[in-house]
Amino acid sequence: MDKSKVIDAKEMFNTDHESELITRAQQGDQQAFHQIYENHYRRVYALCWRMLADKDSAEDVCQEVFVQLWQKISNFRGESKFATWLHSVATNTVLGHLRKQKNWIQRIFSIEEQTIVEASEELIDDSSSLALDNKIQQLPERARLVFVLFAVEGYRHEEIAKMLNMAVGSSKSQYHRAKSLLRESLSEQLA
Amino acid sequence: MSKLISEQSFENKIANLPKEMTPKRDLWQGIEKAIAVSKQDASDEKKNNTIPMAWAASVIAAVLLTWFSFSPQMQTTTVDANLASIMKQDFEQQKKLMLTSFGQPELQKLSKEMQTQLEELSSARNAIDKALQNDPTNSELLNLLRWTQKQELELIKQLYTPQWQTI
Repeated sequence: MDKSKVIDAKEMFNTDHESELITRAQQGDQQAFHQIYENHYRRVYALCWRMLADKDSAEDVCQEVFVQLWQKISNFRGESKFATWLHSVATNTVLGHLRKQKNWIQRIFSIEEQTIVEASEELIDDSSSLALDNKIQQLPERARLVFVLFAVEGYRHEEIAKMLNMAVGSSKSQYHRAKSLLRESLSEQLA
Repeated sequence: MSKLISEQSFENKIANLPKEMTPKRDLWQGIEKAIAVSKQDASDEKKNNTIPMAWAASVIAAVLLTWFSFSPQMQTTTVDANLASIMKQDFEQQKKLMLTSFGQPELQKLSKEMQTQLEELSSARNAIDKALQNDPTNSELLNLLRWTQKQELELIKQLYTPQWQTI
């Protein structure tokens, strides 16, 4: 049996099933929406957690993303993949949350270089990817946001620059800065 | 001194980052509650919107009715070169009626400030009238004329309408 055909058929079924769920959710079917949540919340939570570097905020914002999704799902016209669209809703919600959270001192003095020193409990384990995630959490905010959006989520620098209200060049330099900080940090760990 | 991790090894680490993570608490319960609240809010909003909508609709209907009954010329003479003179006649008639209803007050007895305002509106109206003689179908000038006439009538109305004392 041709294995690739089986995979294609499975994908087609999943896509069809998802479109059906989306249509039902757009009509106000909460059960269908719950199923959409079940299919996507882990991915959305990972995005929130990496961008916010805080477990509790990530959980709260992840909830906010799905509440926003419920309100906006009728706007989804199927012009892009649903997951892509959902991720843009999630990214915007996280960025909105960050903007709200910045206190007046940070706004006035543009303090953005504070790092999160405390690592989350579940990241104490140094094994490979968890160690990298741990180091990402310790990056300065802007560098972390750019790194997560570019390297992990696959956005282009042009898109990131627009989202973060910065020049494309700044997005690129923040990425390189994050990358060298991470490489140095991981090397120290290996030493 | 530690050796820098290779580019390839770093890229591999990024590629191996887990795409999914599981939060510690159940997030759905909170989402479900928020959705229920937003549903309730939406239906309340619909109900609350009905009354102001009805009011707005009746106000718009009244305005349209007044507009069409008091200015029948407007419907037929939009491209008519005589529109300005019809508007002028209409305005003079309305002003006369208004002054009659207020017992023909002497405008000269008004305060200097009020007199100046009325004079300014009147001279603006005359300037527009003159400009319309050269370009009688200019819609911007016609709109300007209508606006100054309206302002003048409103000012007169404000000046002479009896002020009721409020308790």
